[in-house]
Amino acid sequence: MKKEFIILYLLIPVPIQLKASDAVKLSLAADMVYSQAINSNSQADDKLVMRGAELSFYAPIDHQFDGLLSAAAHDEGGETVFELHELNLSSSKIIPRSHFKIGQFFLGIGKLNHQHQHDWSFIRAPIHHAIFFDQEGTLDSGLEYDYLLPTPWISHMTLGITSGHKWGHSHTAGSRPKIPTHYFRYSQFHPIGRTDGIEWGINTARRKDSQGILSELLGFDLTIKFREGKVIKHKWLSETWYRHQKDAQLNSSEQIGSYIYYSYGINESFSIGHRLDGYRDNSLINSLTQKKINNIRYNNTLDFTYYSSEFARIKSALSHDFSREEGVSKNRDTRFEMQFVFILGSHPAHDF
Amino acid sequence: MKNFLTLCLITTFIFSCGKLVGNSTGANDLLSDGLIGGSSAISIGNSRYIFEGSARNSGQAAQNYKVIFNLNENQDMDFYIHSDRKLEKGGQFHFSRIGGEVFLDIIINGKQDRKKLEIFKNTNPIDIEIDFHNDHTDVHVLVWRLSGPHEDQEGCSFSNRCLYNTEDFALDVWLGIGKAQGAYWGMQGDRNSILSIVGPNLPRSNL
Repeated sequence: MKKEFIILYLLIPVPIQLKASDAVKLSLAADMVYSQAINSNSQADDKLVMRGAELSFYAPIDHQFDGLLSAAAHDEGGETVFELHELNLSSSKIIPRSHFKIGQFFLGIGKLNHQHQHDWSFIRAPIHHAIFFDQEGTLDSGLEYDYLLPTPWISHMTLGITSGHKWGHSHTAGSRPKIPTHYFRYSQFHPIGRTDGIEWGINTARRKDSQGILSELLGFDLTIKFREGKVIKHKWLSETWYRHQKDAQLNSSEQIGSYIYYSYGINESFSIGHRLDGYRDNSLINSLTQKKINNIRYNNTLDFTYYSSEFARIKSALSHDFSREEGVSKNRDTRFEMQFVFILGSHPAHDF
Repeated sequence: MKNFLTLCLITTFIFSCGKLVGNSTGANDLLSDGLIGGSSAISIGNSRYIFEGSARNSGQAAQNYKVIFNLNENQDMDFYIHSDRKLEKGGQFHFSRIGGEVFLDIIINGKQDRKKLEIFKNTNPIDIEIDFHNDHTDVHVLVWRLSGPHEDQEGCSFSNRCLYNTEDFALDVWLGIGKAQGAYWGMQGDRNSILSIVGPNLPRSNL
């Protein structure tokens, strides 16, 4: 009888088996962005781009492990490129006060890097994030371990080590690094009342690539939220990152970038927000005079968001990006953008 | 002492503001050997010149370069981008004309590939545009005619709508090439053959 039951079960198509177990959760997140150039120098596409479609499966594997698979189709210059985002095995039940994952994932540093792009509070990445991490985020394969420290306040320590074969934007498999990517994050959460709170974190990441270029990142992130009922009335997000690089000939370079974002929830359906971000390349040198060029780049973005529900939102934004070098303004880019995001199926819980 | 501290604070404030608004410090006040193809340059000897301007983020950025030049029979012309001050450790673009045909040799981190640019056979001037994406794990290079077309994907690889694409499926020479390791750009050859040269600018392709 048992043998017959097993044979019968194997004959059932896999999707029906999964449904019967009622364990595997499926999510499809779609992210469409329209960009309209306002000034002649803008690099906006003037078209609606299917920026991302992410398909996620996640579920407990057994009484100890969870599994996650997410794959995303991205637009790259008009072509749709399909790639594996995350595939990992994780557990918070084996080691007390700990959560670890093995596989491929977005590195657990900073605020934006480990959030999916469609979950961000703004349409485009801040300047420094796009330069240091990529337009979306840096992902890699390896091990990440998170420990809830036994302190009177809520504090986490996250350690990770990943292959380091590639970092950020890559069309190739990369090469074996001299020192693999390793990173550390320490964060604290301080609740204010029952629904409000402040979270901050300090982050470092380090890697020496196959050519001997040592990259070191140091960052600070801050999140503050105040709710009134279901509405996030006030939200502040901020990150500051510093990058130092040194090549095999010991030539070094450094850059720094920061953003601060504030949004005000008008009601359950609408919010307005403003982001100011700046970026500075401390190593920019005039090739002829050999003197450092005073430079700064800013982006100012004002956004307005309509939430149909937690599964659908439409965001519009007006942004102005410009840089200045030695007293001269350059590369002005003013554009209007609209983002349409919807999620079919379930969706994992968001970070604070 | 109090006045000194106040002065220090005011100076610090002004200095910080200057950094925050990108005021001039005189870094771009040039003492160059003159113009080559409209760009300021200095000689570093042996017919080698460094041009004004350097790539962002110490070279780890995507940048675009444009050049128009004459290339006579048995003449060579080299362009170096994302290089050090000796014009080494970057991308080298070597143009030569033999029997009326123009050849382009691209050399990066010791790897090299040659392509015959049939479109320039017995033709002058040569107009070239280069996208050098040194912000990838492995540098991605695209070369077009300045006058176009400017395809950067399948149209480039399969329809010859670019002159060269290091990510062409048919080319495995560039696998694991890594990055160029500099921010400077320059040339080696007859400076009088350069009609126009511009760089580094924002990249044409966003790949």
